[in-house]
Amino acid sequence: MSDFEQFRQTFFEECDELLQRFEEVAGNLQPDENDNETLNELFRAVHSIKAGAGAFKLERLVTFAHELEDFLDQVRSGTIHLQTGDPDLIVQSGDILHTLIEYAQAREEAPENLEADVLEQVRQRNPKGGQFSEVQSAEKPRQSGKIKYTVKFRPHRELYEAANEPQLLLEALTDLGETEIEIDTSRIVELSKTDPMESYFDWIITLETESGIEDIEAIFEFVDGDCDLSIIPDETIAEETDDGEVLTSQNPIEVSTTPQNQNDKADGEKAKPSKGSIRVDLERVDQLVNMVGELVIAQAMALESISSEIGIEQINQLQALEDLTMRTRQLQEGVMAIRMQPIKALFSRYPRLVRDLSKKLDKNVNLILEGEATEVDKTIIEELADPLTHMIRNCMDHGIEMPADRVGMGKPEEGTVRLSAEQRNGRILIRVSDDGRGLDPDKVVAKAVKQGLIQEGEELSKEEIEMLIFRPGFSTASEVSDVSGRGVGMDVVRRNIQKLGGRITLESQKGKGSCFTLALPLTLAVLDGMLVATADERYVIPLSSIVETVCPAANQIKEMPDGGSVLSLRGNAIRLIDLCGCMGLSRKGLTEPLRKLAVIVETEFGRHVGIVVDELLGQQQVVIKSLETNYYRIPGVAGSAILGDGRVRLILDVDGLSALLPKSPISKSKTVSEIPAENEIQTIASGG
Amino acid sequence: MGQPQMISDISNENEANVEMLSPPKQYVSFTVDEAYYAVDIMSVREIKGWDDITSLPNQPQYIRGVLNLRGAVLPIVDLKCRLGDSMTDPTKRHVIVIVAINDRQIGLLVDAVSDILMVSDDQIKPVPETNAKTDANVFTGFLTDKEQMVAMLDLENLFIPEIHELDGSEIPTNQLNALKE
Amino acid sequence: MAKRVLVVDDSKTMRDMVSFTLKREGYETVEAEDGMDALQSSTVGNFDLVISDVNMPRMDGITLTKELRTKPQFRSTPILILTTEADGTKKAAGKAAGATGWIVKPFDPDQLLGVVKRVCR
Repeated sequence: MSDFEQFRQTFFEECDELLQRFEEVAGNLQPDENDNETLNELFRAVHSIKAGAGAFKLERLVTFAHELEDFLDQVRSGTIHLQTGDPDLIVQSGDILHTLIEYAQAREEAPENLEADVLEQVRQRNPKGGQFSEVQSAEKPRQSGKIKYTVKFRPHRELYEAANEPQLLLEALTDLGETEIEIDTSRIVELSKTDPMESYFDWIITLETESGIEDIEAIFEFVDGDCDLSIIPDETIAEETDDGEVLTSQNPIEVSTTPQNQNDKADGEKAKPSKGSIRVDLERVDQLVNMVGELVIAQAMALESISSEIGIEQINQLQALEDLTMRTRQLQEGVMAIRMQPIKALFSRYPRLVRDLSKKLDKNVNLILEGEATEVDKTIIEELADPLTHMIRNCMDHGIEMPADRVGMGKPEEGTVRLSAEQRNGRILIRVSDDGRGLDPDKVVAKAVKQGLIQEGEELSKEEIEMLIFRPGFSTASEVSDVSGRGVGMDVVRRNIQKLGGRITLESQKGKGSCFTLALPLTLAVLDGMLVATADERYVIPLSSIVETVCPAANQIKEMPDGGSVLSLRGNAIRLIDLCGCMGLSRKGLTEPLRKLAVIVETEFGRHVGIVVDELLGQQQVVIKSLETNYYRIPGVAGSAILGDGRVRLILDVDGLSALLPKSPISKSKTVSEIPAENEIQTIASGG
Repeated sequence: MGQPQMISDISNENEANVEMLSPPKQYVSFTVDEAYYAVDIMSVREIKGWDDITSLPNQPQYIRGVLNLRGAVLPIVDLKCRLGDSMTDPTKRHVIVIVAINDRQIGLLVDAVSDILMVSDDQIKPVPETNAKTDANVFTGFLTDKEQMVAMLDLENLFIPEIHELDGSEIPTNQLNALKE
Repeated sequence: MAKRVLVVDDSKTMRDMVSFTLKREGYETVEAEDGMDALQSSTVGNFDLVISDVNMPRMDGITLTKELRTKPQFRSTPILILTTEADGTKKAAGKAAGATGWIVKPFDPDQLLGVVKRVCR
């Protein structure tokens, strides 16, 4: 059932978010912590997890979360003071929550007694703490005796106009207890004078129930103001209530407003003091981002069409428009900033991973974090968690050597894993590096041959060898290890990064270490693009990858034996991609344009390729719409955009397009070897 | 609206004796090349006239391209072509039926929408064993309505392109050919 | 026949949650992303209940409620609005527009069903 899955997934995503916050806060917790906000935050995270777990009937999780919640509640209210061991206990509890959630997510039963030890410690710290069953009943206070109420109810016509149904209200009353219902028909007028929309009935209901008056009021919540209503408690039936004096009051309580306690409760929940920040549904932000993006585009198009018509005397208006453009841009930047978060939120979960793994692997590893303040789109941050975990595991498991071996090689006994983030050229670069043993090219090639990924004796560049580890089915570890095994390979990591519009590369030196580099877009939402035309279609090329555009003369283009062609530009040989052919278009009856244009783009390895188009239509900012929302990924296409005319245009993926080219054609061609700068290209390509 | 007449008897719902054996469901039927097809009305999101769409490179022929539906980008399936026939030559009078399949929305290019049918499960006959041109699993069954044979479409099976997510390292042959043109 | 509910919310999570809860109880649901879409969908078949968010792009839930109330087939269809505000202003606005009642977010499945059963059986 896909709805259920969706719902479940949402819950687990939320859990992740909450746990991450929990771990962050708990990790910095001091024994004498008395900052209310810190303690509140821990409490709320556990509270939310419990609430969701309840909806899914995850009983063990609910029980554990409940006791932890209760303990934290006592702590934040000052009843219990944190002691030396408590921060550790709270961190451990977080681990238990994490594990229970993981099992729940995998629909597996967690090992018996998994939480028993920690639970016992929590109980010891909070001996008065409610066992779960007690508190459940405490959440819904009930008096023990039955009370008889007289409910008088006279609907107005507005009640019917809002499609409320007295019968359903009466049924709801009946659900609360035993009812006797009388109808007062004295207001009924002569049939000929009746108004079909008018209401002529009064009801008098006697209700015998254990429920409180607020439960009765709640039933009439929606018709408040659309009826006359009075609820009068009559007398206590059976034994006395625990604190019956209020409830047995003989005074009628006229109900004319929404019960006060409802508002109180809602306000109490709302009033989360959180340093002036609010939680906003990410979808809402996305919508805002999209709308502003489209506003920018619409505005730019309006400006363009006006500026071509406008006379010199209206130049002031034009300036006003440009001012508007600027403000629109500012608005856009402001809105985009909402989605950005410091990557610290993500990085902060790895020190623990490294510590745990060090222990497990008996290795001595120091994790260095750099650039934690770098701001990254929230979606990207979320999607990076697993790939980074995997890469760090990989570094620690396969990269870093055992301490004794390291000393033997003259390396410091302690290994170093470095996790860094920086913003460069409109991209986010994230690096995971280690000073371990690095990749052994011979081993990698041997493995790849064995797995049938390449032919024996095939000549590969260093860069090509390094890319092998990203191929599906490749794993260098000779045996699947507990740490990085798990059947997930680097190919999955690579695919996840690609899905984000990013690229992953590996540089490695045998004996010295390796470095994964992720290059990611700043944001997933908008893109500065160049609109190009070929045949009768239009495409968007990301501006960030465009180096220049040239209009080559015929003698600059050389046909290659493999059917492709190469452009010679200032001594460089550049492969050309014919966009029209590549996109499967035919020039039905269209004449070939006299001169073709080549848009020179730079791909991930610094390689330049030229995309041949018919026409350049200008720069535009576009809002990216994934094709995968409703379709599938298409090689060579990064996504789509809706332009001002309402048409969908495809955004080209220059790396994907260049991957469609033959692998290493340049060095094998005689024609090109005359071109002096060939070496330069080779250098760039192998340098990664 | 109905104000209740019998107040003392509110627990006795008048729906109680409605048989719930096989509740009829609503289907939207449409024509392609004079043949009738139908989909569950619950999966139909919208119906709109044919519009210019943007083609996608190197996709199955029946994927006509993508369309902007109020900010969402939806693929359009040429139903005639998908069912093994030639491609539709769409005009302004052709219609796109937008349906939801699991989490995805797609448009079906058809000739015209014809009717809304009330059908109970027992009226739907199984797919005959031999079905020459198309794979039988794009239909869930057949139904006879006003002497017309109506084929019930299995939307999930209808929309499984042969090309799924391709890894960047693999190059489909048609793309290589395209490059060599 | 199962009751058909039109669920209108621009948040997919919310639609999922409402739909899931209702479907589990045997309701059929049709989803719409905003008021505009909901109006389109409202022309296809009859509905026994409408549950709509308030803040949505293009057409909000209050306007949707007003629009639906002008249609004869929705004159007596219960309409519940989903509101995050407990302060009553949205509730009052919803009521003025003809909404039957409201559901305050966040809610759990039982609360939702409780409210639904109060207006639609």
